[in-house]
Amino acid sequence: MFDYLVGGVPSPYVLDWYIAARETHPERFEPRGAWDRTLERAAASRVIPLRWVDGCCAIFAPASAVRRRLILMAAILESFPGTYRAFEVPDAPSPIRFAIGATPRVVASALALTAGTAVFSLLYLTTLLRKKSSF
Amino acid sequence: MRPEVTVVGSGASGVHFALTMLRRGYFVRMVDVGHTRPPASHPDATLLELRRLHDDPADWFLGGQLEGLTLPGSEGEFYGFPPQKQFVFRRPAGVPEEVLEDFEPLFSYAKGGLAGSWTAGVYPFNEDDLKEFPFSYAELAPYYDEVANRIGVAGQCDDLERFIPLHAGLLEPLDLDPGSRSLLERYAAHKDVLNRRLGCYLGRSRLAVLSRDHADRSACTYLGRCLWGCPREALYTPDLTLRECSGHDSFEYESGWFVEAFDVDETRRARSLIVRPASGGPQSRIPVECLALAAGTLSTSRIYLESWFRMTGVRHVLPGLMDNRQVLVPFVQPRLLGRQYEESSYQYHQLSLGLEADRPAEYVHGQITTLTTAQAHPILQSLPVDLKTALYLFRNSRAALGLVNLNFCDRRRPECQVTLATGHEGQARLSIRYEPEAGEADRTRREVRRLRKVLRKLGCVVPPGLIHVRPMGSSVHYAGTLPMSQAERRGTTSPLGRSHDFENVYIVDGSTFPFLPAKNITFTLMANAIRIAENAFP
Repeated sequence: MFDYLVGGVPSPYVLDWYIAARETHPERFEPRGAWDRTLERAAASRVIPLRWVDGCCAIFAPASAVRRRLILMAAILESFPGTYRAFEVPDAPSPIRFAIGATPRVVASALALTAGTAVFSLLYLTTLLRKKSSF
Repeated sequence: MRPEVTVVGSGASGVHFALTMLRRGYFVRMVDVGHTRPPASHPDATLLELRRLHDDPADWFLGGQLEGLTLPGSEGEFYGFPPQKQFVFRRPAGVPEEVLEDFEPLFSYAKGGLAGSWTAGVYPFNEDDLKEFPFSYAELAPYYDEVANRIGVAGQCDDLERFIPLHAGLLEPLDLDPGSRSLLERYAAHKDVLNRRLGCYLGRSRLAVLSRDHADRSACTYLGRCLWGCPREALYTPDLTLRECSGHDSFEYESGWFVEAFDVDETRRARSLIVRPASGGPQSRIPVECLALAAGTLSTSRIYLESWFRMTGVRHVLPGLMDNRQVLVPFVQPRLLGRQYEESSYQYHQLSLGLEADRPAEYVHGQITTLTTAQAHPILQSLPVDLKTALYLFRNSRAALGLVNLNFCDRRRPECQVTLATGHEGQARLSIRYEPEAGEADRTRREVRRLRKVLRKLGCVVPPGLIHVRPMGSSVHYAGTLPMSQAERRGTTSPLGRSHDFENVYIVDGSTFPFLPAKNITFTLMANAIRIAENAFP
């Protein structure tokens, strides 16, 4: 999660804070329902890239446990002196450079969303079929 | 022996009323819950330095209970109040929740009241705004001068003067951040079209922030920490005036008391306040000679209703509750994409705009805030892309982002009212009901359309789907439940705030306003409180 957002390995401070926040407020970060749990497992498994899961959740499940945990991590990172720059310091120092930098990223994001949607649609259908056949 | 007055509440109205009475030789007792502001951490450090110096920076930003964390799917506003400002809204023990209908109010029980978390906008009412008041602008103007002298107001004479009169003692305006500067430059270039065709006027916000040293306070040093509470006291909050009051021998501040009501004798004179310890415990009484209610419109109404109920056994209804409808319109300035935002700047609105209306009092007031040090995570989660992409887009567009907070005026209407309801265990609960005026939605849409045109002319883009109509109660500009009136009707006061129902009770807060213009009312609350203190007492 840390690597996905800002790259690298989290410091013990960030990790401790993240774990403590989740343990102290489980009601805010635990999955709520079966599908939410599936998304969480998919994100944890690393079989499906986290970006695919995140992209899908951003559109179809913005309040899912995966997004909540990602937002918690983002909030800790922007408070921390070692990582706040990722939230504040631009790396495309003009509108044109911004457009040049943003285009491939948005395209990659759209592709991740498409791939994620395809995978999760299959997963969702499989879950439904399994449920049906168990009756 | 000095004459005595007891003030309930230490907000903007209460402290300026109290200070004036003290200067006039009265003995003043102030009764308040009085939750206190936590001490500022590293008060001279910039936000960047604070991140490095603080032992636990995430705790400072997010709070031990994660109060500063906004999660997707959470109810409420886009941005919550940071941990450092939670004290403003902490509820005393045993105070029952209100019964609410289409109204989401905020209450404060802190030293300094709700203005402990305000954005410091000070906008005097003009002759049009005061048309329904029982006094003229000329009668109120000297007290605006007096407030400005006490608190320090930065601003300048510009196009907004047509809506916002000038007062004495205006300090130089604060340094502009690049986003605001760019908007002002575009305004200067397109002024004719904006003024004539769109009826829009732009100028510097008037702010209760010191641009130079004033009395015993130091000028703003642009630490970038306004959102978390100014650690250097350059941004005015009423607890500073409370501190000034405390320097008087004839001032007594009794904190830790939640005022339930007052009881009266057979001549309808208030004899004592009925109070409970804010930490819980049995009722007790504080004797009063003369009572000034300044607890804020909703709390003052509750005390008034409860006292009336104790006296008559009848649940009275106070009609006419007002609040400003607010609409948040985010915008992007494409020419600033990729620029570094300026951390060393004032964090709230630096510019304001006025949209003319056919009837002058119905003008629409807007406050323009450019994004600076506000937390990123609430915005990141609202972008319809994965967080990695959102992070790239955000950090490169941060300096280009801004928000207009449009404010609309409100009128007293019978369907908007406060009364008492019975809670469990027979406890009285404040019941608040609000109903928007017919045609309000159409008017809001029309003005937002006009604002979009204004922003386009200023070179801004309004991203689709992000305009937010705030629920009533969000503006915290409550008024109108005990209006000033020449006629001696029940539930009204004299033009000098004296209750028409109780002999020695004065209402010195926004409850008495008969009309609510689109402007922030805090400056007028303070000026009116001084007016009453100067004129209602011998």
